[in-house]
This record gives sequence, C-alpha cells and structure tokens, in this order.
Amino acid sequence: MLESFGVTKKFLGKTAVDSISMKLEPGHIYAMLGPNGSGKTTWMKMAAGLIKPTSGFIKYNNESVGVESRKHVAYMSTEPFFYDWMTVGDVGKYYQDFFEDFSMEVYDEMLQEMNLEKTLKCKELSSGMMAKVKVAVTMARDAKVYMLDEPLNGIDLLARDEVLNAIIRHAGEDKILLVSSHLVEELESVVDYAIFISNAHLVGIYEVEELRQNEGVSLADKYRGIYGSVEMGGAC
Amino acid sequence: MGTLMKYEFRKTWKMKGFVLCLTAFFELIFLFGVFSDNEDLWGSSIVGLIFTTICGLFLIGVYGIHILSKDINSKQSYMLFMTPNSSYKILGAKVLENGGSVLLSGLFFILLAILDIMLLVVRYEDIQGMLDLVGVIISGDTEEFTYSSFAMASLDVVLSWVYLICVAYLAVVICATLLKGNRINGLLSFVAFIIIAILVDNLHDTLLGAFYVYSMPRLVSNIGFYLFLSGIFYFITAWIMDNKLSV
Repeated sequence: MLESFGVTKKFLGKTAVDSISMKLEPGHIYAMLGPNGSGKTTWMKMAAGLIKPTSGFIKYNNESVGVESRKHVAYMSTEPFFYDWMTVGDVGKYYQDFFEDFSMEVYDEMLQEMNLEKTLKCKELSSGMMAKVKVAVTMARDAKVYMLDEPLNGIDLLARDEVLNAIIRHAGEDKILLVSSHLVEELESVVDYAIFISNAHLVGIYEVEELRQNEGVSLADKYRGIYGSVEMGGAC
Repeated sequence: MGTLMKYEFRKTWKMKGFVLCLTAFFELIFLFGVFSDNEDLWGSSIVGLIFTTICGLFLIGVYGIHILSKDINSKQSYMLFMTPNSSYKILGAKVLENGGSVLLSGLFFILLAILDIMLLVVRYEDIQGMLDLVGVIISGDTEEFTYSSFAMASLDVVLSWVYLICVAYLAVVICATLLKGNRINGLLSFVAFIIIAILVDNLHDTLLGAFYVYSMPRLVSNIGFYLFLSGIFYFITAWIMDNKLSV
C-alpha cells in the first residue's frame, strides 16, 4: 500500500504539491490526471524516493519511501533519461545490474513484441521507440508499484496501443499501477480509479465504474467538469 | 558500490583512453630518441610526457566533475537516483572512481617516470647527474631531493587532486541544489569552487606554511590535511544530495 500523508513540496517559494493525502491499494490501476504543472510529476518523484517532501511523508507498506522502497517501486519518467552511450541492450543490462526484480527474459520478449532491436543506440531512437523502450524496461521489473509519468506522450496511436497493452499485462492483484497522462480517453478503458490534481492540490479520487453508473459520466466528462471549474473535495 | 563504480568508469573511459594514447605516443618517441641517441628527440619527448602527466591528471579529474554535473543537472539523474542506492553510495562511487583513476594514473605516471629515468641512467651512466636533473625539475633544489621525498611529493600531488575533486563535487552539488535550471549554473559552480579552494588554501598556509615545501613533515601533514578535508567535503556533499537536491 502506498500512502501519502499531507505531502507538500515547495521549490524556492513555489508550491508544487500542497498537502496531498491519499492511499493507493494493490490490485488497482490508477490514472493521475491534471493539467501541466499541477504537481503530478512532483508527487510521483516523491513517491519514488527521488526527492524529499518539504513536509508530510509518503509510506510504502508502512515504511517511509527512500532507498529501500526503490527496490519495489518502478518509476518511469516522461523524459528520456538513458545515458547517451547506451544501446537498447545496455539499458536492460543496467536494470539487471541494479534491480533484483528485473527479468531480462521479459525485457527481451517485450522488445520483440515491440519490434525493437537491442543493438539500437538510445540517442538515435525516435520518440515513439524511446517511449516503448522506457515502458519495456520498467515493466520488465517485477515491482510492487509502477509509476509511469506520461507514458503516452509524443507517440502515435499504434505505439500507444502497444504501450497500453504492455501496461495492462503487468497489472496484478499485488501490484499498484499509477499512470499519469493528459490523454484521458485513452486511459478510460484501462484504469479503475482516477486521481484528479489541480494547482498542487488533490481534487479527488474517483472510481471510474462508479462515475459511469452513479453519475452517468465518462472519465473525460468528469475531467472537463473538474477543470472547467475546479472544485475541491470529491469522493475517496 | 562495485556496480556503481563500473558504470562511473564506463562514463569516463574514453577520456582515460585518450590520455593513455597521448602518453604512449610520447613514450614511443622517448624510447626511439634514447635508442637512437637523439638527445633532442628524447628531451622533447620528456617535455611532452611531463605535459601529458599534468594535463592528463587534470583532464581525468575535470571530466569526472563534468560527469557529476551532467548526472545531477539532467534527466540522466534518474539513472542513478532511482536505483536502490543512497546518495552516500552514489557519491562514494564517484569519488572512489575519480580519485582512484587519478591515483592510479598518478602511480602509472610515477612508475613510467622512474622507468624512463632508470633507462636514461643505464644508457648514459650518470646516476647522480640524472637525479640532480630531476630534482631541479621538480623542486628546484638538488639537496632536498631523495627517492622517499619524490614518492611522498607524488602522493601529496595525487591526494591534493582528490581533495580538489571533492571540493568541486561540493560546489557542483550546492549550485545544482540552489540554482537548478539556471543558465549560469556551471559558471557559478566554478566560482563556488574557487572560493572554497581559496579559503581552504589560506587555512592550509596558516597551518602548514612554516614548513619547507618538500620537507618530510610538510609532505606528511599535507597528506593528512587533504585526506581529512576530502572526507569532510564528501559527507557534506552527500548529505546535501540526500536531503536537498531535487533530481
């Protein structure tokens, strides 16, 4: 279980995340939605143990996130982050060297499905190919928490399908999947819950099926409703 | 730690290879000059080897600092900080790899210098003359120059480099923490480095200035001084990375 307790992050006077409290449970896929600069990436980076909150704390299985939790949390940044000298194969070796839960076999399978050669140089990859490599190497870990920041950014429709399929395949009873994206419609059929964030605040966490049944609205409609005129609160 | 160091080496091996190739080039000229009794040639190659030694150590050290700067100021920082390693380990691997490279390169150059001197001694059978010459080159004084002072002075130079690398790491991390994304981050890191180095140099002169530069007490004290400060700066830098740096 991943829990956020009143987490705030400030950067030189600017508040990127303001007092966010929420609980993410295994066995669910969560979408983290919000406009640019709303604080999604900052919260994810704190949950991944990459940066520390200014106040509040995030716990993974009742332990504060940090070096130890990185063994169980797989984070994927939206920007390319591999070293320039690496090939697609080197990326796999790097993950194998640092993460005990990484499977080279799964990585190879995913590369094959996505038609990616291990000999390709990372710096020469197109944005679509890079997105696929990032997803493949992240999902080839048998992590307990996956956090994918904008995995569908800058890629075409077919590549999006491949990426989403790869993500869905790795969802499991004991895993938490958190995906941030602007492409609400693309995520609608994939996620169980949607976390709406606006201006560094948590607007609410909604169960997608419940939205459809009780409110009769799609996730995209809810998104329009929330960001059309932002309100605080929401069902949790 | 070993895996981190392996990747640190992987990031810098091209620069080390370049220095090694340059050294091999001048060494070949030196050997050719010695065996063909061409004093002008081996004399010039010695100048080349001294130049390569100084610049090589400088380049290896500075390139390591550039790599740290790139590692924490670009998205490549995720490659390090998403792994289950603490900032102390990550920085420790960098210091050990960079310091170790400078140390090994320094030892390599010392060994090469000794072998070349021995070759000249055997070839020209003027042992004292050769040692005097090296003494004049290094210390400007033939009286104080001995094998042990030469070895200690060399170790002193290498450790002072390791210390400077630690100061540079601190400067880079402070600036990355306070000025993330600022265009003049690199320049300010350099200014911070100069300020810290000057302050420590003043402290060094106050504490050890009374000793003669190549005297044994000064050399031993220097080594202790630089080791102590390298440790202090390492811990401060790692603490900032762990608690304040945003990657």
